[in-house]
Amino acid sequence: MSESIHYSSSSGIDYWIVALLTLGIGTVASGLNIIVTVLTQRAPGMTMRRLPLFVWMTFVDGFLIVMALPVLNAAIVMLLIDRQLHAHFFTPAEGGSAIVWQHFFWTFGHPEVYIMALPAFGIISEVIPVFSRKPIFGYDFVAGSTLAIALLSFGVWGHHMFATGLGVPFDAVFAIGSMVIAIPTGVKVFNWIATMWGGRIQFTTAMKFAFAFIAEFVIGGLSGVLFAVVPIDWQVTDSYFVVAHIHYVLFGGTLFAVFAGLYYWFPKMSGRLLSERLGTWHFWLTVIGFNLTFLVQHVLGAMGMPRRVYTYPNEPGWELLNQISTCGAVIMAASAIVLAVNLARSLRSGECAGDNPWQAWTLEWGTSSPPPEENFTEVPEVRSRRPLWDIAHPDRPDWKHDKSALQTDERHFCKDTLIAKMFVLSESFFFLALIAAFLVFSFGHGAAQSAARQSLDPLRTGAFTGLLLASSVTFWMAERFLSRGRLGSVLAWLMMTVLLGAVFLGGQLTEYAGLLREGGDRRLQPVCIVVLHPDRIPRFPWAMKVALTTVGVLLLEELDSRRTGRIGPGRHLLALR
Amino acid sequence: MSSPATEQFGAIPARPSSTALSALYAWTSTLDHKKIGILYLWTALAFFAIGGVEAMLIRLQLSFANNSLLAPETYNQIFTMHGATMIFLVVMPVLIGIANYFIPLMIGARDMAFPRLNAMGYWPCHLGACCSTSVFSPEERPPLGLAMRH
Repeated sequence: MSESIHYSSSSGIDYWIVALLTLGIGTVASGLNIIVTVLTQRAPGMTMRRLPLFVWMTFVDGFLIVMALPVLNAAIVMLLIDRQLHAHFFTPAEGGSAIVWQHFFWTFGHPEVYIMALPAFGIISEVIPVFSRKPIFGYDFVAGSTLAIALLSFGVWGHHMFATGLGVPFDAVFAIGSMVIAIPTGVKVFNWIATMWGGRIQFTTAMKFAFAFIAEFVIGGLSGVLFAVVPIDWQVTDSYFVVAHIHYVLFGGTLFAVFAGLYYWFPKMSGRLLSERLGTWHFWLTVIGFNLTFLVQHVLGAMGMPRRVYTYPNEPGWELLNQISTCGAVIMAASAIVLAVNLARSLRSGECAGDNPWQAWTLEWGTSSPPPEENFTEVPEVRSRRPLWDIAHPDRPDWKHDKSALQTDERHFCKDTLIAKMFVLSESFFFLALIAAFLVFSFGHGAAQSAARQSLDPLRTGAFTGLLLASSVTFWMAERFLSRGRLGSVLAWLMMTVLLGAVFLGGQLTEYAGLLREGGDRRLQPVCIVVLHPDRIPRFPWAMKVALTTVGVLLLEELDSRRTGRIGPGRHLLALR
Repeated sequence: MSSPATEQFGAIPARPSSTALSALYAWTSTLDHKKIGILYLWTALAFFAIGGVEAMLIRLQLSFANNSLLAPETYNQIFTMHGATMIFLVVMPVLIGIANYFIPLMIGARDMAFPRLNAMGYWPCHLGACCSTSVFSPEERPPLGLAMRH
């Protein structure tokens, strides 16, 4: 048995891996779709510089998803190979490296923090102007700082690993990067505050959550900058200080923004308003419960209480602080129940919202609530960043003094080409991670090096890869001749493509056959799991049954749709357009 | 439903009379970005409850020093899944759900650029979510791994 199986011999972790991989694939698909949608589906007049900020930030977020998620996918594929095919990417005893796992995880993990934060920033950038009755202050800076965050987010993962001993030069680079990334984030905070400055603020529940978001996120951001200072990081690493920090960023940050967005957009989605009275209860219970739970954890962490340990000795004060934290958690549970009641009551008998309950200015409020099947009967004219304001105030529309009005329409993208390019971008990050692993191990020492050399012959694999790439060239040639109408040449080039593809596939087969032969029976385990471990099949836990039932229902629907001629799920999933 | 305001505005279309199966069909076969967005949001809400229960168990275990409410490996299992659930099954789906619902509306589009790819993005999320809860079944013992570690 390999070492990794020894660490966690259950198949629970295998389910965890498969779940993450499945989720990762779905998320990349969504990321690709978001990018292409924003670039190709905008209404006439909706230029990139007039995009609502939520759309801007989710668009940038799409790029982060497309580039960062594949790194996690690659890492968990390697982990799965470790566990099922008995490789040793991450097992130090066999020449692998647990540090490499950490590098992969955090190369994904830190951009992931911003994947979760950017849309939250976007929601706040929509809510604050509407309830301050002012346009956003410094649109260009809010949008531009998003790009800065996205770029920097790929260069700061090392600050999660200071305690592993990266060495002084690496520590310095990652420390500086982690401090610099606070600047564009700070730019946004100042812009939100400046937007509220002098505005006619309406204290709706959405706005209250936006206020709380700024306060809690700034606390989380500041404790985050502390980790960029290497000695402080060493002091508080793996303590409750880190737990407090992550919850201030993810709960006080992202989830507070999601609550703000929920109260803001729920009327559009359901046609009904949420109760402001219950909303106020939800807000205060959340804020009080959240701060009780996590503020004290800063203190516990500074006192040295380690995280990820199931209990603790009764050091002076520890028990009291933990009990305060638990009380806070109970209050938060109560707040979640209030939210659930609010949602249920509103869906059943909530007050009718009308098309635009907040007198907001972006296009989603220019259609009915909920919107009809195809969204708009007629898309309102877009001549500025606030199209509905222009319609409501024809005497003083934004476009008269809006600089973005000078901008003419931009270039048009072909959505098919675009998504193909984005997919290649995503795949290249996946393979970059795999190639990086190979390089690390073949330039490593001892067991790792010999294992890497044994498992992969770069020359042979390189030659086969070359053939695969050449088949793209021959296919492209065939396409060129097709456009000139020379069918003979088209056929010749197509044959060449098929031949190259066949040689590549043959090469793959021999390589895999070799790997399987080397490992003997053990490597065949996943292939023959049904044959070798029939006892594991009937013990599928209940949730797998739920998943299988879902697949079953989809299949039934597919059969049904064939009979009735409706569009069935199969055509949804197979024909991607 | 019978409040005068509802009748006056009449903005909310009545649900078409339908059997449970045809409703299920409508939701599982939908290509409408708004419906897909709502599917994401319900998924996130369900897992917010599950992740919340996990959080409460963690806090109950930690409310007394040297407490033994949860066994060490159960505790490891629960805090690992609390993190994984909240990040991958709550925050990501809720954000993608909102994006799915509102991006086309905010840019004045009829739908996402690739509606079927959009549906294909949700269903792996659904299957992965079901799969992830399997780590808790009694016969499948815990993932001792930590979310952030090997």
